[in-house]
This record gives sequence, C-alpha cells and structure tokens, in this order.
Amino acid sequence: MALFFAGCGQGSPKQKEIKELEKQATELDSIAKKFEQTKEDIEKSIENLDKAINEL
Amino acid sequence: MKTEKLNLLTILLVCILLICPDIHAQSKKGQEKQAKDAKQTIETKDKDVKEKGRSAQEKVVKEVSEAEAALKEDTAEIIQEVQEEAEKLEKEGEKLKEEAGKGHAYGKDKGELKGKDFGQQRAAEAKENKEMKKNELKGEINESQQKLNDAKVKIQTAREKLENDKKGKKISDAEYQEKAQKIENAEKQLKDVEEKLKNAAEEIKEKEE
Repeated sequence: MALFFAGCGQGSPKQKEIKELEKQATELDSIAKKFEQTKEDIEKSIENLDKAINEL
Repeated sequence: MKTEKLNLLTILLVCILLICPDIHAQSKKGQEKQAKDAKQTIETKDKDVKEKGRSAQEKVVKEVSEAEAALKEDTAEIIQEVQEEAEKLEKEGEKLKEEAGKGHAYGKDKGELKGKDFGQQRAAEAKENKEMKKNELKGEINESQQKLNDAKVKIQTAREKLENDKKGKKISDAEYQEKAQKIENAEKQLKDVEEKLKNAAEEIKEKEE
C-alpha cells in the first residue's frame, strides 16, 4: 500500500512541472501574439497617417 | 425642177440606205464594247470582293488563333497559381496538424521528446518566439517614431503655408477651410500613432518585468 502511494506521489510533481512549463509557454505565446497585434496596429495607423500626409 | 428634187431625194435616200448599216454596225460595236467593259468591271469587282473576303477570313483566323494562344497561356498560369496555393495550404495544414498534436499532450510521446523534456523545449521555443516578436515590435516602434517626426515637420510646414496663403489672399475661404480640415485630419492620425507607440513601449516594459 505504501509503495502504491509512493509510486503515485512520484509522478505527481513531474506532471505539475510539465503543466507549469506548458502554462509558461502558453503565456509566452500570448505575449508574443499581443506584440504582433500591436505591431500590426501601429503599421495600420502609420498607413493612415501616410495617407493623411499625402493629402496635404 | 420637179425632176431635180426627185433626183436629190433619191440620192439622199440612197445615201441614207448606204450609211445606216454602218451606223448600225458602229452602234453594235459600241454595245459590244460596253458589254465587255461591264463584264470586265464585274470581274474586277468580283475579284476584289473575293480578295477582301479572303483577307478578312485570314484576319479572323489569325485573331482567333491569337486569342486561343492567350487563353491557353492564361489558363496555364491560373492552374499553376492554384497548384502552388494548394501546395502551400497543404504544407501549412500539415504544420498546424503537427503543432496541434504536440500542443497539449502531457506525458505522451511527442516525436523524439517526452514529458518534461518536451515541456522545457516547448517553453524555450515560446520564449524565443516572444523575444523575436518583441524585437520586431521594438523595430516597428523605432521606424514609426522616425515617420512620426517626418510627419510632424510636414504638418507644421503645411500649416504655415496655409496661413501665409490666407494672409496673402492666395486662396479662397473655401480652399482654406478644406486644407485646414486635411491638416486637422493628419494631426489626428499623428496623435493616434503617438498614442499607440507610447502604449506599445509601455507594453514591452510591462512584459519584461
């Protein structure tokens, strides 16, 4: 019985660590995506500014 | 006297009888010539018409062949484009499928790596990607800042010119209003970019903390 619980306990921290790494990766992906969206947003605004300047 | 008149009439009659066949012959000759000319004209016109018809036919055939060739070329290009696009989409699909398979498969076999190793690699790749996107954004901010500065100068110049033109009465009120509106619009866009650049810089700072 003790061996059984010991066996279960051994796997659990590793799984947690893996999940933690995955969580980190997902957060990093999300930040990367946000950076990309911000960049695209700036590009669009610059395009609009260029148009407005060309009309002067 | 009467006999003389009779003689004269007889001579005249004889002359007329002698001349008539000639006139008749000449008239017949003229008609024949006219008929010949007319025939020749008809033949020439007929030849012309045939020639024109043949050249028109040749032209049409040539145009049709050219159109067919152009159509063939266009079709080949379209087919090639579609094939290329399909190949591209197929590759992207495979890539996405591969990534999706790797994504949330905790503890399962993910290619050469398993479990924790896979998680660490995945996190490292995500970090690398984030850094790349961050640097791209920084580059965009710098580039945009330069454009912003240029735009500021252009707006300032345009405003000064407009005011001078108004003072010098070089433009009408309507023109002045129209140009002033355009300058205001450009200023609005400028502020929008400024705001976005400021927010982006804060965003980078925030995520770095």
